[in-house]
Amino acid sequence: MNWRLAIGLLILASQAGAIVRARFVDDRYFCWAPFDQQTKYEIGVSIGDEGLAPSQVQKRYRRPAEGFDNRSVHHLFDIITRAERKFEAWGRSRVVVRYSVNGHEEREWRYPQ
Amino acid sequence: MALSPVIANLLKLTGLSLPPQVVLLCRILALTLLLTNHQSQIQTPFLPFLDIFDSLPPELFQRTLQAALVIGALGLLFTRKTRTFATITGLTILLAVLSSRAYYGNNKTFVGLLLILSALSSQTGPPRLIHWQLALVYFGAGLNKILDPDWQSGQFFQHWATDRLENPAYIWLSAHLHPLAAGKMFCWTTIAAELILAVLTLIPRFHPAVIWGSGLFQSGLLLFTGDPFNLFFYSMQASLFAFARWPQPQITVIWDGSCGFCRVTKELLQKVDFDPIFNWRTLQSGVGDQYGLTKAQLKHALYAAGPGWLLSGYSAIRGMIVHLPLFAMTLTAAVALAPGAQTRRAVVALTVLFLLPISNPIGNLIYGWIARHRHELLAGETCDLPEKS
Repeated sequence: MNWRLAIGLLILASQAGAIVRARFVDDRYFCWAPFDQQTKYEIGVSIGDEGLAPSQVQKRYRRPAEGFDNRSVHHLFDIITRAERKFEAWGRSRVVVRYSVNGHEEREWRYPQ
Repeated sequence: MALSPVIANLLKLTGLSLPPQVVLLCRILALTLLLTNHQSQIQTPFLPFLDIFDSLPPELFQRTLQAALVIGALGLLFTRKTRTFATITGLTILLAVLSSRAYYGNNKTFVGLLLILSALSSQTGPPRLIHWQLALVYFGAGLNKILDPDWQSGQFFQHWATDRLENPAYIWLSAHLHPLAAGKMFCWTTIAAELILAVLTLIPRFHPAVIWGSGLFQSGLLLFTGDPFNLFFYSMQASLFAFARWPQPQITVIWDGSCGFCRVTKELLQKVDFDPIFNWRTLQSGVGDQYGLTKAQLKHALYAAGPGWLLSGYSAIRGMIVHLPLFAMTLTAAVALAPGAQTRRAVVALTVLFLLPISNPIGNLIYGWIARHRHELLAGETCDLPEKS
């Protein structure tokens, strides 16, 4: 087997691993699950007593404060969790995400949980 | 007038370090990246998948990737170093994906992987790595859907098509069926198509079916939504070139050497056929005998013969056009530069109609008229070539 083929097979095998991994976790990174969920969401963030404006939320998470997401909603939760752990080490932030997946009833997700 | 060497490099696919159809795949992706101004989407590192990206100077990292993407894409289009520039462009996109959860997307990951796997393909033989890549994409997508309760019940499609897209055809159909019946039908058709395509990509004798099946499936998705989903539509269609066979030997085109209009058309096509793909032979040369064609048949219509196929008239013209790299590049540009969803839909719909036998009646009608009047279309251009026995 030549080295090019070996690298190619390694790349493909890692994706097969990601597909298997996706069966045991909530997120859907690198497992080829495009456009499998439609999530309507609205993010509310407060740091201490101060609420953030939508533009500040956009800057914080690099996605609109409200809108639609076409991948697993857990990607949104993952980004918020990681961003808060990174940017707000003092634990003053409170995040509420109101969301509805595929037209089902609205639910709420909070950080910290 | 000869076209410039720059254009020649863009349209010549043979004689490079990768198979011609893989070169075309890479060039279609490069063209898409440039025409969609994709470098503007590349960000500074943000919640990266690998911590190392957080330790790099963010602005410099972003600018470097943006520059590498543009240089890589231009290199793919206008130089003969396809393997090198496919590696540069593919790695750039994968680095951008790994460095930012905000930039991350299936479509970008797929483009990066297609380019890397193209660069890893051998010069000869079928590009199996790309076949297996598409199989994984379809398998992963189908598996995730089939295990999702909202896909099983049809709820996903019902909500998406009705509330999000407000697609009038779907809403009309849904209203005439039991609740969720239309959603279930579309969901299960999608799941079945993806899982079947995942299997067919692995079996070489079904590769023509993969080209048609996946091509129509992705075109249908664009027609339904009007959206190419960033790079997704382009990359899924481009990946199908890896399943096509390069015409070996060339496609023999049998034309009427006594017709001025035919000669001008031939010269025009030869100007954009840099490999060349076509071997032009006049009907007067007697080449028709090899295919069991009479002079009367050959005078009636143009014939094109490739490996295992023989077409005439409109079908021959269509078969020739789809083999020209310029055709795929023009279509890519037309979809990428379309000012809105409706124009994009129109481009894709007309292309699909052109490729399907459904266009034969009108195509044959137009071809027949031109063929009958070909000696009158360019006055003074008619001459008879000496016939060989």
